[in-house]
Amino acid sequence: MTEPTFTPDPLQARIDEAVARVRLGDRDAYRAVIESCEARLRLVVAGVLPDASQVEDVVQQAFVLAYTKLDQYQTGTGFIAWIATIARYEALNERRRWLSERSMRNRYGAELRIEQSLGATPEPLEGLDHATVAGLHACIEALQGRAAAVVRAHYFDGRDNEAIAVENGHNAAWVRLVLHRARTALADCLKLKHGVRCAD
Amino acid sequence: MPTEQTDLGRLIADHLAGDQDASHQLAALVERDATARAQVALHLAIDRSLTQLGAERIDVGQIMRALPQQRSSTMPTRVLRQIAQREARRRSWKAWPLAAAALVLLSLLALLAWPPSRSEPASLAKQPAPLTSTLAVERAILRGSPHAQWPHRRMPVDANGRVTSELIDLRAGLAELELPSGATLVLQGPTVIDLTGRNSVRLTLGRLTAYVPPRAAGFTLQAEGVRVVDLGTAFGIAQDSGGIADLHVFSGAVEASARIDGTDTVRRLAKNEAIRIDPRGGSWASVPCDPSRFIHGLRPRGLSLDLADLTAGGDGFGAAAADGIDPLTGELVSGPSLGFIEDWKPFFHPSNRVGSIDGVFIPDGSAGETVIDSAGHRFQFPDTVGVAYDMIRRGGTYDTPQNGGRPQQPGIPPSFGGVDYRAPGRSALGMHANVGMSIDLQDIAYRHPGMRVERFGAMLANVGHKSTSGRADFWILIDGALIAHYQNLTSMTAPIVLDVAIAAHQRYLTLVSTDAGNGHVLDWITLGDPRIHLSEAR
Repeated sequence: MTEPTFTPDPLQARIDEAVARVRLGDRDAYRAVIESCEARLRLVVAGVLPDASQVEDVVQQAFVLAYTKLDQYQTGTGFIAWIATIARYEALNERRRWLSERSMRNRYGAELRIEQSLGATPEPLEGLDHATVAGLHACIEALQGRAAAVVRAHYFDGRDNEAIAVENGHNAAWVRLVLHRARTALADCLKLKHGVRCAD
Repeated sequence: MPTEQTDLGRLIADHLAGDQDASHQLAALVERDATARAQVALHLAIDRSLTQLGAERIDVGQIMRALPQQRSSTMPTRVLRQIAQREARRRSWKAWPLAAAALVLLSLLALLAWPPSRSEPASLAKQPAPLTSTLAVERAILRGSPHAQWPHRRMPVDANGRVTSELIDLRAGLAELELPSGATLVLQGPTVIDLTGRNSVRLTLGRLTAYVPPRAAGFTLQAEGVRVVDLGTAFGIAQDSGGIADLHVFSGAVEASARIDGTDTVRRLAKNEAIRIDPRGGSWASVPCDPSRFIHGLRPRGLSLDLADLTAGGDGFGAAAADGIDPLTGELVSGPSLGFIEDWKPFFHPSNRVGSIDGVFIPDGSAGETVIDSAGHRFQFPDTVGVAYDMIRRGGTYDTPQNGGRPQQPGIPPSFGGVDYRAPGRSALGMHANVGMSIDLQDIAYRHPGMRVERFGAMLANVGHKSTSGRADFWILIDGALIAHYQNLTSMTAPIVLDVAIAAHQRYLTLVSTDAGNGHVLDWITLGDPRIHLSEAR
């Protein structure tokens, strides 16, 4: 019986090679790294900050930050995942700053009000987009019982998919599917689709 | 297709659950597939809204713009520039203690060498002023930047309008800078420059117009592989992320130097001359000078974007690198005529949103209503043969070699009503029947902060051979509603002036050519000077 062979991901290998050149002082080699990772970082950051100009800023900042921390990356451990983590933290920091500025404007922050609302019956709160909040809750109510329960458990109670799966006698893949279908139904309900057919 | 839909759904679900592999696959898919991008944006919007309990208005369009798209990105250039700046700053900080120590030592030596005197020692009088004050004196002034977008929303100026950084990174909009020498630059975002001296700049990427008064003669602009020295003039230069630079001289003269074919070459350009420089390929070529490709003032009363350029992936100012858009896929394409193109069912094909083109389709009423834009608007066109000819092409439709077509030439020149639309400053768009194309007007407005789309204008003609046998129709719709329908256009029909007013809330402008029911032979619908006009938003 032959030993299973390990086939390295060619993209990762290319990136690692470019990183090695950067470490040797070839700064322009970092261009290849950026070109290989930009799409992934945009996807990650857009999930946290939807504003196109902010996404641009944060992705750029993440690339610069990763460059300064290149000595911390261990070759072969997955550069894209490593830099995606940096980008996500940068996006969360940016988001925190945004919420903080907003809270200064509103005397107390939207984040705080969200936290306050999590334990209680969600009510439209001062400073939030009342129409969106009301619409969202009406649409969650309209979901079928189990889907609504999974949405509440995942988003409002902050429970992880494994725990929700165990409670419902299913696996985590089932939870992902239920959440995905719920989001599709909510997009329908909120009339957000802009003629786009949802993946289901 | 159901399988693709299911796969996409699974990837989205897994990505949102934190699966790294799914994220990786999804990023690649979103980059090349506009339909997938729209669906991902929708799910991200819902996920965000649920996570924050509706803390923000849901804006799927914003997320769409933020997601990766398959087009030349300015990100690598920007990042490398920022890294270079950081490293330069670090080097200068490291050098400071040494310089300060040397200065103290010199001062001590000077004090020891000469007796005290009331007059200031000559050596100290000649010392350069401290760096900070030198910079403060030499700083350029930001004369204005209406609606400009800057990184992290911070303008690079102090309270007096003096620029606070050598690096000027204008994301969008316009900015006017006056250098200490008096040279004035109008930057059109996205543009990145460095202020390298009191009368010099380095252009990393983007587009600018320079006005150099006699007192600032000698103004120098360095771009990748090319150096421009002003000889008292006004000129425009645009450099894309691939390094290609276009230099247009509007008045006076400039001296351009570059390494061409391995040799350092200098060329003097006079008024109304222009060159395209490819520093990586080591070549340059003369091109028609076209002032309309540049913005000449800070507060233009209006902008006029070339739709032919937008269709081919440009920014409306002549930056297009492709030839046009494939009506069957919505992708940018270049090269010879695509010939006959048949869609088995008239689907709407979202474009990759390059140049604000929403999508394309091949209209055919026999298959029922056609979806004409990504909002899902539908329209019932009459029956057609369901076949297009060539791409929607900048410069005019090409013929296939079998039909006598020649490379780099429209099958029939886009010349009508006494105007040759191949001339400098003019443009043409070939829309041989049967094709339709929708333009996202709000996306155009987003890319030009402070402006709103006001009108669409063009000259319309069927440039087919002089006969009445080729008959075609042309349709204009906005958000699915029919605005105009021109019937039975032949090559004998006089050119028609198109002038469509657009309201601020309207989003999709759809232009369609159909074959008028007699087949699409000789239906060479062509738009001359197709322009999207913007005015200042109130």
